[in-house]
Amino acid sequence: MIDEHEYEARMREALRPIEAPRGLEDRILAKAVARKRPSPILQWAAIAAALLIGAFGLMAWRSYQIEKQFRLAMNITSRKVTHIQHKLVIEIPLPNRSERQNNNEN
Amino acid sequence: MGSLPSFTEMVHEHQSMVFSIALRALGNRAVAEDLAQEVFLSLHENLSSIESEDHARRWLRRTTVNRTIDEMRRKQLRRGPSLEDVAEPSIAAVERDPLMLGHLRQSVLALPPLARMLTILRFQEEMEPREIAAHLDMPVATVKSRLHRTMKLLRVKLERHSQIRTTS
Repeated sequence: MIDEHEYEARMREALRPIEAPRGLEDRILAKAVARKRPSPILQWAAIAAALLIGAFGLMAWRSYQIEKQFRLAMNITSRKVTHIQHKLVIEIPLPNRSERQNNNEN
Repeated sequence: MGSLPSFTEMVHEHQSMVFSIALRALGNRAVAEDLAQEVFLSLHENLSSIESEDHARRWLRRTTVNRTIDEMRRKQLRRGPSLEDVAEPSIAAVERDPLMLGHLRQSVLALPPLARMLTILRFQEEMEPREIAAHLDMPVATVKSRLHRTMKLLRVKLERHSQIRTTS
């Protein structure tokens, strides 16, 4: 029969702290450095860069839209002009040669 | 309240405590090392909330205990690996009875997760039941009764083991 003190002493001995494995400290520190968050300055710089890119993108998109609308307007105008030209040729025929001579003599 | 040491100093000072709790409870060196790394990386992310050396120690112990219990429950690691994987004392002292101590360690590893952690905190970390209760957010009476039951169980196992050895 083991007495209480002896039993507790054995438990302490059995569960004595274990030394950390060699190199654990270095591995932890290396991982901590790798995971380190960027500095606030870098974070702000990244936000500013993103905003700048966004602004340029918006400007480019707007100028593209304006150009597109202008081309469409030019296209419509061109079609209308062609249509009117066709109408003029069909509805008002040109006078023939004898008619033109008579007109000149008169 | 003492001055705040650097992260490197904290790792150097407490790595054995963190690794030791994890290894005694999980019985697997690789898993214990991974857990220790995660605990310290978590400390690194929360460095701004650490107020003192003592606070760092308590924070590390609490985080290690919680993560180890989670790991034990998740994997239900009831049985540890071979004896040599676990039986590695910090000091190169000659153990009085390595076979008996190995048996005790194996018996601790076979305990249910909470009982295992209570035993480790009581005998490895030499914490009082009151401190353990505060650490695990449990009533002191529950800690005491659980520890009492666990000690009784381990004692029976130990005595049975001693009898077998003396008869053989």
